[in-house]
Amino acid sequence: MEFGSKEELRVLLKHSGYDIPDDELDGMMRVYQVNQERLKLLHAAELDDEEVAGTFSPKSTGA
Amino acid sequence: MTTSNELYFLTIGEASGLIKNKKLSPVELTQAYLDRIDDIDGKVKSYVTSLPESALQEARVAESDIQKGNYRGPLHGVPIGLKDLYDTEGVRTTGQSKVFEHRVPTEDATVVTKLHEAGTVLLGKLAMHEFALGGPKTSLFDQANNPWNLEHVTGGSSSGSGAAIAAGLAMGSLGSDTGGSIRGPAALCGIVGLKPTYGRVSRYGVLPLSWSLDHVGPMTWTVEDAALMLQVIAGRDPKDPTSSHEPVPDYSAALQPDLKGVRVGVPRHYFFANDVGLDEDTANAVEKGIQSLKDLGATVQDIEIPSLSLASIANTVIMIAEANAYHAKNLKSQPENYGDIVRSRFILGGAFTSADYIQSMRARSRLKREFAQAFQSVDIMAMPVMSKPAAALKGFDPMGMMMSPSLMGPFNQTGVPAMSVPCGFSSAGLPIGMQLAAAPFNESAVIRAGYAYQQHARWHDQRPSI
Repeated sequence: MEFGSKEELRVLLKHSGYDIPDDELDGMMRVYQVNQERLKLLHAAELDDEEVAGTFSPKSTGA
Repeated sequence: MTTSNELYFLTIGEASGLIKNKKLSPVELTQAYLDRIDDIDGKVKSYVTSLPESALQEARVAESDIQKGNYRGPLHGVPIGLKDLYDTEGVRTTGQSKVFEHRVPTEDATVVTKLHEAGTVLLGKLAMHEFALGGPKTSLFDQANNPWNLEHVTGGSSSGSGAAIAAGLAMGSLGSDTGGSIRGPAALCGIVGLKPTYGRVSRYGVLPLSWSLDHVGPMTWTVEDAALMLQVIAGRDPKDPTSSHEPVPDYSAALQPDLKGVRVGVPRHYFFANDVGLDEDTANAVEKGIQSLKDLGATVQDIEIPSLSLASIANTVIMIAEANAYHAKNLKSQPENYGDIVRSRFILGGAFTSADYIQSMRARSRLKREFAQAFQSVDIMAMPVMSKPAAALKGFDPMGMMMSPSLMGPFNQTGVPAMSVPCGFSSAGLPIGMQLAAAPFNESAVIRAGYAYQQHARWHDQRPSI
C-alpha cells in the first residue's frame, strides 16, 4: 500500500469504524497527505527520553 | 473607520464607573445594545440566539440592586454575549451544528454562573464555527461577517464574539481557544482576545473540541476589559478537575503604563520564517508593535525555541484525535448533520495512530521544556497572531488553514497565557494583531504588556463604520 494513498486512508478510517465513500475520501486527501508528510518529521524528531505530557496520577480528580 | 461616543461603544472600564456612580442605567445601556443589534446585526450576523426580554429583565434587576447600594463590581449591569458553546440553562446551546440543534442545557456552565453572579446582562448567544473547528459555513445558522469589511471572514472559531465586540453589539464576550480560536478572530476583527493558562478558567459546561488543548477566555475591546472579565471567571472549579488551585491575583494591578524592566523575546526563526507566509502589512505592523514595546522601556531580543518546528503537526494530531473521540458516536450515527468541513476534519482524526498521538504528546513535553527555559531569560514573547489579515469570503479555502504552520497552536500545547492585541491595519483597512505570551499563570505579565502597548498605540480609538 502506497504511503499517503487513498487506500491507506480508507484502511485507517475503517479501522476506526468509519466507512467513507470515495468522493468524501477524495475531499480529505489534500489535508491527509500534508499531515502524513509532517508526521514523517515528527516521527524522525530526536526526543530522547521525553515522556508523554500530562502524567497519569492515580489520585482522585475530585475537589 | 469611525470614532464614536455612542453608548454601545463604551468599554467595560468606562461603563462600570458610570454605572457604579448611577450616571448610567443598565437598562438604558442594554436597550442601546438591543437597538444596535436590531439595526445592524442583519448584516454582521454575530448572534444566533437573541435574548432581548430576559436581557432587559436582568438589566432592571441590576439597576434596582445598584440603586439599593448592592453594587457587585465592574461587570455589574454590563451587557455581554456568549459563544454558542457555553451552556446556558434553558437557552439552546448548539455548537452551531444541526447535531445539537435542539439541545437546551439544564445547567449553566461554571463561567456563565460566575458572570451572572457578577451581575452581567446576557444579550444572547454568538455565532461560531461548527463545534469550534468547521467554518465559516456551518450546518446551522449563518456565518458571522467581519465588521471592518462585511465581505471578509471574521476568523474562527469564536467568529460571532470577534464580530460583536468590534461592531458594538456586546460590551464583552467569552470565546474558546484550542488552536487560536480566541486570538485569531480577535486579530482579524481588531479586538483583544486573551487565552489564559490552561486550567486558569473552568471548562465545565463548555462544549469540548479537544480536552487537553481547550481554553476559555475573554474577548473584549480593550486589555483593561479583558483583565476585568478574567478576574471574574478565573479560579478553581471542583466540577472541572483540570482547573487549577493556583491563586488568582489582582489582574488590574498589572494595568501599568510602561514596560520598564520587562524582557521581551521574539522567536523570529519560527514566527517570521518564510514558510509562515507573513504578508508585508502584517510583518511591518508587528515589527512596529515590537519596537513600541522597546519604546515603552522593554528590552527586546531574538530567542530560539527549536521544537516549534514540530508544534503545528503535534497540535493537529492532539486536537483532531481528541475531537474525533468526542464526536465518534455522532459522526457514525448522524454524519449528515455535520457540516462538510467539520465532518471531514473530525473524521481525519480517526486516521491518526497511537504512535502519532504519543509522539505528539512527547513533542509537547519537549516544547513545554523549551518554553520554560525561554521564560527564564524573558518575561514576554512577542510575535504575529495570523500570517495575513482577514481573507475575502468569496473563494475562501477553509481547509487551507489546516495546512499552514500554526502561529497560535504552540501556546495551546504549552498551555501558557497568550493574548492578541490590535497593532495596526492593512493597506486595505483590515485589522492586524500582535501576540503576547508569558509563562504559565503569569497572565499579569501579558496584561501589563498588552495594556501599556494599547494605551501607547491607541489603535482601539478607531471603530468600524457600519
